[in-house]
Amino acid sequence: MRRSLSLAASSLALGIIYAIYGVISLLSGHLDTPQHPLLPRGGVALSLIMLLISSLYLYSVPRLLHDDLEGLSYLLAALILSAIVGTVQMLSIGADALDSLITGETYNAWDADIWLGTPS
Amino acid sequence: MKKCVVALAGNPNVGKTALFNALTGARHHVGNWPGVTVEKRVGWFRYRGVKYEVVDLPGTYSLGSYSLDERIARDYILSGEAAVVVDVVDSTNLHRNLYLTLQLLEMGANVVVALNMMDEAEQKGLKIDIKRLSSLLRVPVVPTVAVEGRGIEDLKCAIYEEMTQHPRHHHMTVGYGRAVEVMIARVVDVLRSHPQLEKYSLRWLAVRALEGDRDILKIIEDAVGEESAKKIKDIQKDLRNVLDDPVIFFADKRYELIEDIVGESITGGREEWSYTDLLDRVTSHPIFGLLMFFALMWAVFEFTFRVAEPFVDAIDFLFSQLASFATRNISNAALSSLISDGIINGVGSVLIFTPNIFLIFLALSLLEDSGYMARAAFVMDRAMYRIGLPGKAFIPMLVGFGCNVPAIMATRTIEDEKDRLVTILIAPLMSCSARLPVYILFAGIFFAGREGSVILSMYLLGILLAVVTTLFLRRFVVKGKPSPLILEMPPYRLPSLKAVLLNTWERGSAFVKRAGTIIFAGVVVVWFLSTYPGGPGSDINHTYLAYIGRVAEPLFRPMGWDWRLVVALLLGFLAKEIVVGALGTLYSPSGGEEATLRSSLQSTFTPLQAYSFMAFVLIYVPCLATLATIRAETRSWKWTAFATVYLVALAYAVALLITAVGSLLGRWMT
Repeated sequence: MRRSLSLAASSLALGIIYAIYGVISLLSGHLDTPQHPLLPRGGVALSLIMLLISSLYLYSVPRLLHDDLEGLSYLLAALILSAIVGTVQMLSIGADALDSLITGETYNAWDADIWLGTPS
Repeated sequence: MKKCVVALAGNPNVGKTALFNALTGARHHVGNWPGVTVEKRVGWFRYRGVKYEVVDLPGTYSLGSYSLDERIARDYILSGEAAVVVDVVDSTNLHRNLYLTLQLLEMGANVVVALNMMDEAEQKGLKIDIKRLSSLLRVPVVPTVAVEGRGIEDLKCAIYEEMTQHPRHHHMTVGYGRAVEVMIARVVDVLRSHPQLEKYSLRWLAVRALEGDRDILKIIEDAVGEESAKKIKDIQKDLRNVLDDPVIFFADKRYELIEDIVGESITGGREEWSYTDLLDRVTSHPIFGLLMFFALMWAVFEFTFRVAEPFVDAIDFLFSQLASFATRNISNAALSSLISDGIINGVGSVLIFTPNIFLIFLALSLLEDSGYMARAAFVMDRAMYRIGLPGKAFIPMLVGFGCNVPAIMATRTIEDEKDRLVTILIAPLMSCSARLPVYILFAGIFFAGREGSVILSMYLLGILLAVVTTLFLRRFVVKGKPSPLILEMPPYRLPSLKAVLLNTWERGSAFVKRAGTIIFAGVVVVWFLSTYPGGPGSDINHTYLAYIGRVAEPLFRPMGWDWRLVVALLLGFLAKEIVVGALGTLYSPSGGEEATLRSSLQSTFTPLQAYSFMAFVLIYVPCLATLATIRAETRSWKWTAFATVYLVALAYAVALLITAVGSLLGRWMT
């Protein structure tokens, strides 16, 4: 029961973080404002994926509280999806860094989405 | 000595061959089923003074009329030649295997269930109550481990007893609910008075007729005559007023019963879920599964585009250096132009996308090897079936993302001719790797920072148009319903690095080979036509290619494309890779030494024109090789011509629509 509670609490926290992040990045895409360095650079699609990850986390919460294995399913799927998206983002940042070496352009790609992409 | 024929039925991969060998030893011969090239194995053994001939039926998941294997198995059992049917069941997966068992029982066959792979079931902690299972199914159930020869003597004994003591069972029946049972009874009443049908289970015939099994309807029509057949058709119509889809309804009812049987007969098993079970809850979910599929596809394209960028730039830099070197060191103007403007610019502009091609195949291979793609097929099948595509079309469509030629060849796995034709005709709409360089080029120039999303939209547009085309074909051209999908889900596993790399290399190297052959030849032709009659350094507007392009240009004026884009499209008929190669040759020299293909295009076109051009490249005929394959697989010039005309017309209409809608939106927003 204690394990279920802690899993549910973690899932809820991650779900809320992803939801906030997804909504902000979605709205910032529609507003005519400069891209904030803390926002992901994958456009609307990535924002929607953030919201999908958030919904997977949140969907798992009540099931985890009831000790239902289905809750674990959604939590696992959310973790895997966020790990994949995070890995792609991290590789992209690495590629940008390498590209700046090749083309000589200024490298300014550090943003926070990689950390949200790989929660553990 | 008495003789008895025993048929072995079962799903694929349940150890049927091992059981056949365990029963017969080396005493067997191999032939073909009459009229087809499907292998037929027949063996024999002796037991208590009886000689048993064992006929190994093809592995099937059901006994419908959807595939050749199913028809062979079903017709053989219907023939009544086999006194006993041994249904080989994978005891670790009763849910799936009992579907065939129920169908055999509904047919009225004398069934003995061989509960195979019992050792694996025990390892998984499954405890199967054999007696309970046997009493629920009302047939003998024998646990076996065929590979070790365990339970074989018991099985022989059960076959002997079934043959000698129970010539005909009163089997369990599947209940389909009061309303449908009334209709089944009405059909049975119609069939009852016809002696030709006595050898069949009338209830089974009635159920299959209501399910719309064409082969069974033919048997019935031949036996009962027109008047009675009309009565059955009327009952079918009544059923369709009650049910959305009878096929799904009957299958659901069987699975409900299976759920009950499994629930009652598997006891003491652990409630543990494997990782596969856990993930399947989400990846096979009708909504979350679909959303995850799109999310993963986005990740694939983002990976393909952004991670490849430094490698693309490195190759681009290398080719530009090579071109400069050639220009500086070759004194003959014609030869220098051929090598630098023609070959290096042309072939180079295609080869720079090699990293993208390898990365997309790497990502898809990872997904395939992990076992995810079967789930993707599953979640897509629901939607595909509704629009009129068979579930099996997913695999050729998926192959089509690599290359349309093997995709069209992969439709050979689809048994139904109409299903196959529809799949062949929509396969070219799957965005193959040859189109990717065009997307990458234009998305990188006109949609910087949103490349992944824009490229994904091209793939989605292809899928959407495949849906529209299928609906159109099913409504007006190739009428009929598709076959349902039965798919075996492999467990998830960590991809094997060796297998993934090998797969990536095989597919990716084919792209490089094409660059060295057909694209090389194509760009040399483009160079010649874009250099003469004036010769190297002359104005490109007075070349053969300009003359050809200007003839066709008015057709594309509504989209705002100049003659060079039109020429690139015309040359793209040979192979789509040539489009970028041709653009490399046609646009690079236009702005002098400083100009690059990217900057030339950027200064010539708007994002809207670029997007409509990408859509046209996606939709119109992929390449000559694809057309040749359509001709070879359909054996019809008519369908080849149809595909060509349809795809070009569709490409034109969509490009025009994008331009019109985009222009209107642009005006509205400003």
